[in-house]
Amino acid sequence: MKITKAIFIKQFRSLIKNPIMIIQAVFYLALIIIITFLANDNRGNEDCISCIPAYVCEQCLIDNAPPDTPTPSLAGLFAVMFVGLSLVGFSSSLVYEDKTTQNLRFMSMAGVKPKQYLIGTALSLLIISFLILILFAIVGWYVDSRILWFLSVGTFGIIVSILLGITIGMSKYPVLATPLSMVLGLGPMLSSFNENLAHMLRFTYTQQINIVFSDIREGLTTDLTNNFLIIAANGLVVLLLFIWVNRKGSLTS
Amino acid sequence: MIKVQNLVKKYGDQTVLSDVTFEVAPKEIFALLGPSGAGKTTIINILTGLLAPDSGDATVDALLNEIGLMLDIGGLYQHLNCLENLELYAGIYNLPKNRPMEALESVGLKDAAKKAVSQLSRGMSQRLALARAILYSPKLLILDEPTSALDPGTARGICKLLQKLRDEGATIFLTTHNMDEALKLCDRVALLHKGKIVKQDEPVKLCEKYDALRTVPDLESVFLQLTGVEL
Repeated sequence: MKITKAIFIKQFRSLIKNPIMIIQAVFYLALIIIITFLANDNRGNEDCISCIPAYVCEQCLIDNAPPDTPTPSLAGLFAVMFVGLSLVGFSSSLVYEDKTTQNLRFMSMAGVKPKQYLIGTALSLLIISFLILILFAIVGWYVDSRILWFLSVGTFGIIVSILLGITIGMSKYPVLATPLSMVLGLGPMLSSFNENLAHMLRFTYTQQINIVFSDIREGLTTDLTNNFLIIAANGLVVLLLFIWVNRKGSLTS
Repeated sequence: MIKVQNLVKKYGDQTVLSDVTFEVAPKEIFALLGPSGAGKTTIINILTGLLAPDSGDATVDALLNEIGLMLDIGGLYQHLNCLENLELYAGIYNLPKNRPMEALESVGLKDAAKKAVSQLSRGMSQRLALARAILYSPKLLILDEPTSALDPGTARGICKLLQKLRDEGATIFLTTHNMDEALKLCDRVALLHKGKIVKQDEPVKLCEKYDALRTVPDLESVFLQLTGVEL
């Protein structure tokens, strides 16, 4: 327990002192506030030509959304971008850096087991990400029971992203982190305007989480069973991948 | 403490270690001397379990967590300060809270305790890596070129520290290509050239044997006589 605690403290300090992930989250939150403020100025304006660029205009989001999907929520979109783009990339780089700078070797010699390292690392990422998620919920005005739904689904997404990032960092192909995180993070945003893209990405957990976030905002008006099943299936696949990569001893090789 | 017998290691067609045999007794300072590419780091990797030899035997009479390891400046977290880097291992080994600062003081980094590793000079980073290696008072210290980037004054201080640790009961195995340092610091040395131990003995005896004493013992000329290679 003391070893896991020592790893947790170190990783937490690293996240605070190398705050790329936190800065990205603050940037996203600022964007939500600015865009919402600007979009509100254009409310009632039916003509999107005169408003700010279409991809930030809330009316255009509504107009261009694929059929039979809830109205996208800006906070939800950016929260998903954080979960997919920032978290996967950062989790991967954290583990990969420890691996390549021989930190893991020293820890292994000191008696740190892979399980202890992974739990300490994942916990530090989870706590900081959860705090950031709360801010997204507040900024996105997810109030009353909706905030609980938002945080529950968002936390599951965070866990999947951390697990995926750690798995990629442990593997022989850490370069996959960038393209994968871009697809997972940016896909939902771009899918808001493109039905084909939405169809292609419909089985990714971030896409589904984005749909759930949007529906939560509207008060859970649709049956989300399939969405939750797809999210859970993604989680299972990532877990199996993690177990497989871990069994190969990739962390200490 | 360390027993290496007939160690062989190859990378493809290239033989990196060829029938290497030496022993390190407890509470002695033993150095492996040789130029870059002689095989010193490969031996360290085998002793610490990172590599397996192709044949031969290497036994270390210490558990992995009883070994203090220093590999250049590897394993330091750039964004954390010196104290935080050591506090991680102090936490892992369950050491007293003041131990990290004591270790920093012993390598002359007390004033740089709150400095981020990314702001340290190479020599300071090296001293921090040494501080981490000695943090938990290990039974065996394995040091890969511990004074390579240090100025003479600081290097002398580190040598004094290593001698003090030896007097307190630690066994020290180090690699270096600094012959002067090996001469002053070590109880015994082994000369390594192209993966083979050319000679091993006490430094002064080697100098006497190869007429390299003159007014000042000259281990470098011993190496030159035996291998034909200048450092």
